Amino acid sequence: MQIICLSRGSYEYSKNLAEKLASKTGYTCISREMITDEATAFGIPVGKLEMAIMKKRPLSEEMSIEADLYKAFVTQYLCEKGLQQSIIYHGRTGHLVLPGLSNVLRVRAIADMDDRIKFAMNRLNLSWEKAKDYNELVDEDIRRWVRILYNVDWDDPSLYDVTINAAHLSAENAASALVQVAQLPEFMVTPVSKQRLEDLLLSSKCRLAIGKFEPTCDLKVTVRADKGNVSVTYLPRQTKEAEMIPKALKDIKGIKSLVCTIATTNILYIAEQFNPGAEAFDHLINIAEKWNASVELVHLSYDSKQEENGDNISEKRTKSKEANGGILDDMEEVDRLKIAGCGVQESMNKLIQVGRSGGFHSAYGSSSLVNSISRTENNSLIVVGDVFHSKGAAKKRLKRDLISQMADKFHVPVIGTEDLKSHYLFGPKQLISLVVSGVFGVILYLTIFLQQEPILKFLSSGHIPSNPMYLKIAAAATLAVSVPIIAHIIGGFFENILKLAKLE
Amino acid sequence: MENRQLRIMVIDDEQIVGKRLKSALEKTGDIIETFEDGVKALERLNNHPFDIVVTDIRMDEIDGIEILEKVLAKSNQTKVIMITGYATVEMAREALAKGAFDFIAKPFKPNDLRAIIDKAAKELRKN
Repeated sequence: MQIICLSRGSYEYSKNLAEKLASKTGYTCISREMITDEATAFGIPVGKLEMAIMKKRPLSEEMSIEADLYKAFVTQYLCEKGLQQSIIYHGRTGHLVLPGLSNVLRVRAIADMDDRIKFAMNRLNLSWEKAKDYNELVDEDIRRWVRILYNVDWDDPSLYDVTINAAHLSAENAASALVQVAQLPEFMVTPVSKQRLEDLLLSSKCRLAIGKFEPTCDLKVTVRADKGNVSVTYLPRQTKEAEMIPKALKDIKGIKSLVCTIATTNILYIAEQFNPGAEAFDHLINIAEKWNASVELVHLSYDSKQEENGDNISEKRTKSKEANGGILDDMEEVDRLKIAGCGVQESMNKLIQVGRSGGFHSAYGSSSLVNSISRTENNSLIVVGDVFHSKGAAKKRLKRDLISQMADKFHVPVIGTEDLKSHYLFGPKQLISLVVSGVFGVILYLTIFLQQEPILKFLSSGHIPSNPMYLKIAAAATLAVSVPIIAHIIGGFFENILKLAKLE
Repeated sequence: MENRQLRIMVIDDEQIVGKRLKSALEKTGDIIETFEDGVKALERLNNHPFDIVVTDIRMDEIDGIEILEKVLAKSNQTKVIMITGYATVEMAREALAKGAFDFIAKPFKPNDLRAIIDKAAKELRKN
């Protein structure tokens, strides 16, 4: 069973090419539209996802779970078809929907903008200007879609095996050429690729089952399958709900073993105001990537009105499937609006894009904050960002007090965002420190090596009774002072080496 | 245009959509008329002007894009808001290029639609 995935850079040309290729090969042609319709009927709000991307709205955690489910749905659909028959899929992310399958022929079809404008003018009955705007805006939307859902560049040529330019090759001839390319051994099905396809099918089925099972539908999980052995990784804060994962997967056939593991580690980021564009936020992401950790945002608020409404707001996915025609109730929006403008949504969006989102919750006041952190397990680091910003000059002191209070209470490092880089990342300052301590260390070792006799004689002068008292005191004082200094310098040198090697 | 009641037409072939939107949108005192049949809705539009038309895209008899074109051909003052559960960016961009005021994907809360209607009402007042 062969799979050819066509990524549409031009809708009309690519559709035509896919159909011609299907008629030449006898393979089944599947379009993105067919799958999105089925995904919508399955209950995944694909349209809402598309509109969020188009309107440049940050993707909430709720929507990022829907995006995961959509990706799993597409993978499941194509794997199921691909295991039964040879298929040609054409859609905007044809090259990304079956990750890890090296025998899939990934084709990009592009067309001249003028031709695309003419197509749009005819098909949509638009003027030249409007057709031009239409094409440019759709391209921009698709680029954003690919970036947000797959975190890659749509135009990256390394993601495709073949790129076809409609300006140079008719759809008919391009289809003939692709028939030949598809016969190459690199694109043939092997037992290994078939197994990979079965694993992808199983993992996507499991992801969908977890997303559709009421007690587990809010879980942000990563599912992997290897020859029927399924592993599900969930976030540390979702330990309780994760206990229901085996129940969600009980009806899935083909699972030989199931392992549910907690994500390696979690970093808590506490702030009243989040700024995803700030340098400190990038540092936080860098650390999370180094440690393979997820970042959980804790929105700290001192608004008493909010406290009355409960101490923990987290978004809940809409599970209601009763007949409402897609018109929901208004009341659920209230809590989310209260945290609008604090940068939470934007920060979440950035974390989702880099695959480091650990979700968020709100805490109202310091006691609620401490309680909420006590409930969270497996934290490796607590980072305190912009807090007490209404306290004016006392802000720094209050933040310092909060850090020390939490450091006393929890057995994990607690640090301010301003110290993140110097503690955990390697920058120019660390490079200078590395060079200076390295040079000093070399000089020290050389000196000791070359002057071993006088140094040893001086340091051991305390053991010789005939030596004067002042010499004995000087030797003891030199040892007492130099040992911690040398240890600090050498320790600093190796600390920076480990930071550089990302091994700390 | 002063702050008067808006005349809003809702077209969706699912009865429940019209029913839920009518009750939700009427709370602000606007006049809401709902239609399940696009053809009948266009007939009504020929006789009575509406400030805002909210229409589903996918319908059997006549689709939302056709309704949009016909509404704007009759009166380019009318603001047309498209709703659908099957939205794609291509479809939304097409509707916007053809003059739709905005696009909203199902499932949505009436407040989301209300926010768009408020924006449309502001635009209407400017004209």
